[in-house]
Amino acid sequence: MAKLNLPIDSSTVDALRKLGNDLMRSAPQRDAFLADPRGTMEKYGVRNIDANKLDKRVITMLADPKFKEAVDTKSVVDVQKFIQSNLGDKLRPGGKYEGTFDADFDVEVEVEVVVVAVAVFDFALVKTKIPDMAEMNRRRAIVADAFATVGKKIG
Amino acid sequence: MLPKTLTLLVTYQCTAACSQCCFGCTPEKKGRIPQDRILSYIDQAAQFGTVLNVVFSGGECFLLGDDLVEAVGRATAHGLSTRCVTNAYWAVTLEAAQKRLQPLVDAGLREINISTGDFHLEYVPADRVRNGAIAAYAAGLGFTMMVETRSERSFTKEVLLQEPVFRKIHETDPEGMRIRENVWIPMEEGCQINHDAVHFRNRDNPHLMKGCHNILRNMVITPDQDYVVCCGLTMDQIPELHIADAARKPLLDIASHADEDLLRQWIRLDGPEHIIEYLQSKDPTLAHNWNRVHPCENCRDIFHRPDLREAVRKFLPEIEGDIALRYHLLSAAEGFLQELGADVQEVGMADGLTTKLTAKKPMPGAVVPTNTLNR
Repeated sequence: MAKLNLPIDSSTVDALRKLGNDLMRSAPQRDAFLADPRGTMEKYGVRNIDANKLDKRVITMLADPKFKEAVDTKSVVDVQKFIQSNLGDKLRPGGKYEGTFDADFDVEVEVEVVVVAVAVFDFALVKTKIPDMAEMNRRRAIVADAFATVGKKIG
Repeated sequence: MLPKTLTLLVTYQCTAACSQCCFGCTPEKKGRIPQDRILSYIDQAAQFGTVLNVVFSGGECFLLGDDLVEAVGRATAHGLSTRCVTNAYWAVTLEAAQKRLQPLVDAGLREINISTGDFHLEYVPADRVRNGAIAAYAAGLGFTMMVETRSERSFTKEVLLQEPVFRKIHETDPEGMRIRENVWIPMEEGCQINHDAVHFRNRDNPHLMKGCHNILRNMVITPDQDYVVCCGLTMDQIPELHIADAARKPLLDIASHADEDLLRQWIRLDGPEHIIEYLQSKDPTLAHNWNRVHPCENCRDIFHRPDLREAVRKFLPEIEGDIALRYHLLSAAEGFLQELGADVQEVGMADGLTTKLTAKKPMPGAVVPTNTLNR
């Protein structure tokens, strides 16, 4: 059975990467795209993709002044909200605020602790020095207290 | 989109032989990634600039012994966070567990995930699981326990917490001693594992239907040194996800082209459930079992079922422009957010940031777990 691969050529991908970056970061390029999606895509070298079939939410997001403000002011939370509600899960009508940036795809019983924005969260984590001595001491005290209180040993 | 995580399935050998293990791991399975290759993969991943975490899994990664310590140390030296996924067979006593963990902690290990449940307990007693958990917690590691879930099961989170010391620690610091119950899925055709309806990935549970967070963000090296674009439970059953021989080609070369496939992009964006739903909307004669409980089951359906494969080929081109542009906008947004994360970190706001972005503040070092069950 032939593999189910649906490749896109590298040059189109490179063009889309550049377009995506510019749409996220450049107000003039966003305006140009909104005025003429097909022409703008062609200028970037994207010729074999039909710009007329874009999800309306993408256009709505790019045109929203609040999105521009979120990007300009580098508001992580606001940018993330726009991305989640406009780029992912296009087929879900309404529904809970959860989208492509959700951290974990496992079924969660404790759904409420599923966190968001791993891209940001993981980055912060890497830069954070852990465990520090205060945290170590806190945990050791909890363990010691548990053994002392319960008065038995596991194992 | 370059990956954020390197997952090394260092061996498929395991001290357990759980029924329906996702990779069929057993004690009899031999072979591992050679140590020089493990170190090379870590070195290569560190050069990406996007990779943040190295996950050691399998099989049972603790079977690597001192090689695991060396590998964790190598990742730490590169500034990468590390996680080990284990069944805690090594935690025979609390003292033994502490002794086994200390070299890893000294090497910079950041997190441990322990898998347990009815299937695991046939091979690894609950006391070892608790010993391992307490030792990991006391060592300051980010810690998550994964408990197998299905409808009819005898071992649950509540059973785990019946041991008084363990329960007291968990009650005192539930975020530090995290316990999650995750579904256990059938891996063999004809096998039936029942689940409660709350887990069904269908319109009754729309919050479960979402884009796949794992594909393309995770690069996985199997014991045979295949490069796989996700660490999904069914990835070994889907040849299309094995895209290259990592022993013969630099990781960056492979990863740079890994997302040049519309179906992978679509899975990342909308997830298997939405894909099947879309295909059904185009062809209502397509049947589907909407009682699946894991996205990897639905992903396997997409790649295995001839009717769904044909539907993908037929209907995906109609929306390829939308998929491609949304995917690349998403990628650009991720890069943008990561840049903002760097800015935030530099002014010391990372802690506040994670607090704002999470429903509950995670423990320091507690990386959100990937799918660690069925292994």
